[in-house]
Amino acid sequence: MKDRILISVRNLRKYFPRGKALVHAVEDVSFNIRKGETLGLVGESGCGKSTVARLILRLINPDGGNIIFDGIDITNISEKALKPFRRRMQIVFQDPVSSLNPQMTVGTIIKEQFAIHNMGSKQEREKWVEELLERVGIDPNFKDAYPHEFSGGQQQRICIARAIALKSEFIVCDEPLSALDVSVQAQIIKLLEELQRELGLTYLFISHDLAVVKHLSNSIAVMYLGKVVEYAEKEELFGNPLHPYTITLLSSVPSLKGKEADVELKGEPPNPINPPEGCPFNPRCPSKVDICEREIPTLEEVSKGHFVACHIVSDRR
Amino acid sequence: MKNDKNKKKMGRSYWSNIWRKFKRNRLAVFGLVFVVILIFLGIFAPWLAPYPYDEVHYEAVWTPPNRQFLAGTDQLGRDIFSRLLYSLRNAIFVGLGAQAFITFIGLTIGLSAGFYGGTIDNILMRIVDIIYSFPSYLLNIILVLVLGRGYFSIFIAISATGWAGMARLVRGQTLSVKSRDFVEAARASGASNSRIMFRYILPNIIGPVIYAIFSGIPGVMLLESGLSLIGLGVRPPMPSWGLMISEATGQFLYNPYMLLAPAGMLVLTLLSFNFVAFGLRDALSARE
Repeated sequence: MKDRILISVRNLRKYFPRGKALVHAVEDVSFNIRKGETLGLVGESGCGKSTVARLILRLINPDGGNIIFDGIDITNISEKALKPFRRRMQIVFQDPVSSLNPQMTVGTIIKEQFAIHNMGSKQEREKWVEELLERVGIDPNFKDAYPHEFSGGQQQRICIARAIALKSEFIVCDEPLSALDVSVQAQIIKLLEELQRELGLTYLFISHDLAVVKHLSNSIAVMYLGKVVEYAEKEELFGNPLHPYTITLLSSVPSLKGKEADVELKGEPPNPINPPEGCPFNPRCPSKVDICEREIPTLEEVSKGHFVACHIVSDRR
Repeated sequence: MKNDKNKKKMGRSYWSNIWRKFKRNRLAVFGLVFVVILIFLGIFAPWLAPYPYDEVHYEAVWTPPNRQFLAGTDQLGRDIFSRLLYSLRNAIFVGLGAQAFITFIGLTIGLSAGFYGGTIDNILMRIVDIIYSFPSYLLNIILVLVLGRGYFSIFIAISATGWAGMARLVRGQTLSVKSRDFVEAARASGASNSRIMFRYILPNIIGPVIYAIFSGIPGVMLLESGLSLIGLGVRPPMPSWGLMISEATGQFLYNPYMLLAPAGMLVLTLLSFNFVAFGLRDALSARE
């Protein structure tokens, strides 16, 4: 059952009303995540990565498309029917300070998970809390301390303990490293990897840090302005990037050998209230042609498992 | 050894931190001590007062303060000290009672509006706007005129107009807490709405609410005195600081103690509550 697909997202859409206009936050996003693997979701800030995360967890409701969890469509089921699924998927947020209720001790924060799902007796819950804290590298003696008494890295560990408390299979990591020091980032990455190996976790790892994504992911989806523009296995994407946006993203990563491909990205991402005609990337694309301003490219499979949404790439074939 | 020390330091709750900061503010502690004393005096006024509030001493009208009448007597020879204590009792009952009612209504309405949003929010906040758009003193006067004089009417009138401000405050706080990630995390775990409201949102907005309660009490007491001053408050012979002040104004040049005593008590009470409120505000806003 190694290749079983745990999460499948089909043509997901989400628009936010801004006055009379609509923000096209997520536009036609599709991908699969196999059990025990990690999908890296990369893109500039504001491109809709976090919205995708909240849509999958049904924290907000999509305006179109489907979310299939372990073969069951959870897009439109009621909150009550969703509760067993909530137990199986969890989230770790970017800002650990804001993710922990300041009025609860860390022990209580984790115990809430068991209370919500009516699991275990009082003694069992207490024991589980200690095991979980131990597992993520926090001294269980500090279970009665409050979140503000811990460092950022420790707080993120507590968030991870909460996320694995219910033995969830799928965890969304929404930029879990961005608020941390580089040295702490490495420890958290290590912890996430260990947990994945031990518990067989499946991750959706959202980040704008390509080095981290490259390290952790099995496959990668690149988002631009609410759309997936390229989606492939990690080796394929890093070895043979096809979309001009991916190419510029990759070349923006500083390397020890000095700059190789000097493709610089000009300008800012366009306003998602008023996306450009045609390909969303066309105003900034270094190799755009006429058709890019007229037609929206669709995500096409150019080689096995490698999807690209670009007219130029499709024409070249 | 070192570990033991650490352990003791950890586990300090939000509230114990606030109490620690509050204690450092001498004026606030002073205010709190006074508030406790005043509440005690108010509750036990019937046992502490040397005379009944309406006992008339015709032989001793307009007596300046002496050993028999600690704060002197008024135009009917009633003991001003006893009347001050009964006024305090009434002010405290109206102040705390109305404020408790205001807090309950304000919390319920503000929390529902902020949490559910959408149409519920819209309807509730438009009601608040309507109440807000009236001058509240005028509304109080109208309500007392309709309901008739007396403490119960004052209580109703003050509560009916006062909850709008509390509801607005609670709604704003709820909105800001609702957007924090720990609420999202609870939702993602499948926590019910009532669980989120009572375990996640309420404990995180209660600080500013407590500040609002304490800073609102002097306002309520002043409103009671204000209504009594213009003859719309308590029914004589029941005393009230406002009523005593209005009775004393004509006598100010001859018997200044008649005015100074109730005015002094009013100021002292309001200041005490305000000092507690300021201390709370500073303790709540100070960062670790």
